[in-house]
Amino acid sequence: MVTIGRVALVAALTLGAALPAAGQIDSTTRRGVKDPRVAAWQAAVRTHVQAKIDEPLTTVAAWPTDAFDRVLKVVLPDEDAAFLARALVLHTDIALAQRTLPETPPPSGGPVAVVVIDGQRTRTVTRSPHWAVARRIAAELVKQSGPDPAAIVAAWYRASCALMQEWGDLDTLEAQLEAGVALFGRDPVLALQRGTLHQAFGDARLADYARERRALTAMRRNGIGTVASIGGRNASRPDASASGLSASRAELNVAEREFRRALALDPTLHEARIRLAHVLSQLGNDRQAVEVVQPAAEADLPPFSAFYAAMILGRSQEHLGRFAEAGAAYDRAAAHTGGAQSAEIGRSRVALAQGRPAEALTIVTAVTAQGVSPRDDPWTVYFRFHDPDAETLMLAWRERVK
Amino acid sequence: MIARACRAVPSAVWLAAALGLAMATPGAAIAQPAVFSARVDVVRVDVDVRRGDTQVAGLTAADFEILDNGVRQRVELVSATALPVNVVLALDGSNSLDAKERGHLVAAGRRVIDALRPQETAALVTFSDRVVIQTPFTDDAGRLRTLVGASAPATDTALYDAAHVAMLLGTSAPGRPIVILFSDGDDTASVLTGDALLDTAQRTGAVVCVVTLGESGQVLPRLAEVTGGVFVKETSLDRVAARFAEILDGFRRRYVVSFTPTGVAREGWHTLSVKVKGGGDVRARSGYWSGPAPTR
Repeated sequence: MVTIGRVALVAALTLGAALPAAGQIDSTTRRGVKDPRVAAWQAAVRTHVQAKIDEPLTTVAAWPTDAFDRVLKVVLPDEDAAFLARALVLHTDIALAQRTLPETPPPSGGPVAVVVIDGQRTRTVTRSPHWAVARRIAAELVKQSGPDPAAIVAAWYRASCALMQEWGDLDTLEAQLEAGVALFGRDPVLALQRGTLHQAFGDARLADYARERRALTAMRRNGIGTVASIGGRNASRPDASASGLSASRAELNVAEREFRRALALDPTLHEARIRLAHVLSQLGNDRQAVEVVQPAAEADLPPFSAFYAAMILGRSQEHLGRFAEAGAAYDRAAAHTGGAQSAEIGRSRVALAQGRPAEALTIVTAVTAQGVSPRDDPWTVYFRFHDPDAETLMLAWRERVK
Repeated sequence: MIARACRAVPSAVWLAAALGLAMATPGAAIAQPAVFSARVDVVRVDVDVRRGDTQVAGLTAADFEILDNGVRQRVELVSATALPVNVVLALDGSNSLDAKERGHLVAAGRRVIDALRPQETAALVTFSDRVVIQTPFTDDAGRLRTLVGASAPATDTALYDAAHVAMLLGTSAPGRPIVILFSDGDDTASVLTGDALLDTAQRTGAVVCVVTLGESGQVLPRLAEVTGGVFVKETSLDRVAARFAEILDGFRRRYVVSFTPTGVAREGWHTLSVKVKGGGDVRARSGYWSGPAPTR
């Protein structure tokens, strides 16, 4: 075991990213390779305080992206579950800090993500390489004996994926989910999250990007390494609408498959039921959507899921021309949220269709007039949030690794 | 150049003296709900007639032929000047527009406001991830000019929801409602689907003219078509002000014809066919609902 005195570590950290000189460390040789970072990393893992921006975190965060390859190769196979769990915590905290804190930006050369706002690509940003580091650690941890390591890693994947979905960091999420599902192929929550990812890719906000993604994947598969940059919204793309629609349907088909799998693995997973119904409705199958979502709409669910179930039921009933049932569902959705605009617009649609245009106008006026306080409307974020949400899942994971 | 996405749609409509419209007090905010009914006693139709790119003037009632569910109706010509134009400006406030583009859009809105004539009013709806009625119909141009530049950009585009609200608002004032709807792209965030929006269009009376930038899908051209409006796909926001002015001017010069439905069942969907003697491209609503939709 590499050892390093705490004083030496603190001195090194005080110097920022300066590395301890080889001679200052009593043992840095493992398998014939001398690397002062190995000992520094091990010390950082042991001394980092969970969820704190401390010196071990800031020091390791400042290392170049390629520094971890050798460190992990040398160290990971010999460490125990407790150490690996701590290492997972350190790199998760670094990734979180690099996502949210300006003083700890991700290093250049890391993975790049495209920022899409309202359906349009706006810029690219560098993402933390520490999710990938953490995944390597998770892969070692899950091999350890006993039920805890696997439970810790599964909880980590659920929490981190929910967080990435909440951020809308879908490229990072895709890689994270792929690794998670490879380890836990029968985890219903990961299947739900994978379905939600593809539901988001099928969303109008991301339809163009999803289409480009699919084209890029196809070109790579055919050995074409580069893709011409896609023009802005004014660029001539005569087939954009048709191919965008087709790409959306393809994503929604994948989402449907994943939600069905999640439900097969856990029939009580109501969120998967609601999202499956939403996707079925988007694919034009409202009759089946009603059948699927009805049990969730009748269940006693937390507010987000209860609202979402009522909205999906209302929309599908409306599409089927069952306006009384649609109105009742929208009423429930409005009640769950104290009158979210989306639910009220649904209510106004039903009033209009039932021949009450004055009532329809009164309803929308009440929730859209200037000066009316905007209420949180879960409809605008259904493709980003899960129930339970990322914060709850993250806290549960942190409790597990304490 | 206005795209002829909705060319020669044999259609038209709108209601009713029977509406008992009670809103749109000039200069006033919404104080009480409008009172109107889905019952149709008199159908009024805004009709645009063009030969080539020129609007045809000088037609009389005898020049129009209207079929309501295939049954010919007795047509009367309404003096357009007797019916003030009420404009609902529905403008995209999503933050996909940069500051310069937003400036162009504000200028376009103000151009419509500045062009309002006595007796004419405007209402303003903005939308991003939520829809806001900035003001109901008012003739207070100063207030409108201020509000059109005041909306705070936000993410996403609840375009269909906004169009639904704008069309409902359009029917809240006596006169001829027109919705001028601008978005820089297609819907991304509405609770309403395209089909639901088109159903709203068939149940309300506003003529919807759509100006878009970039991709817009199939719903917006169809929305313009079923309401007898126009669909304009622009390439640059600095041209939108001219398009708005062109739309308003063209709307004022449309014909308003009316008829009392005769020889047709009262309840249900009425398909309209509008033609003119001597031919021409006719743009008008595709039909109207009387009474509630049948429940399945």
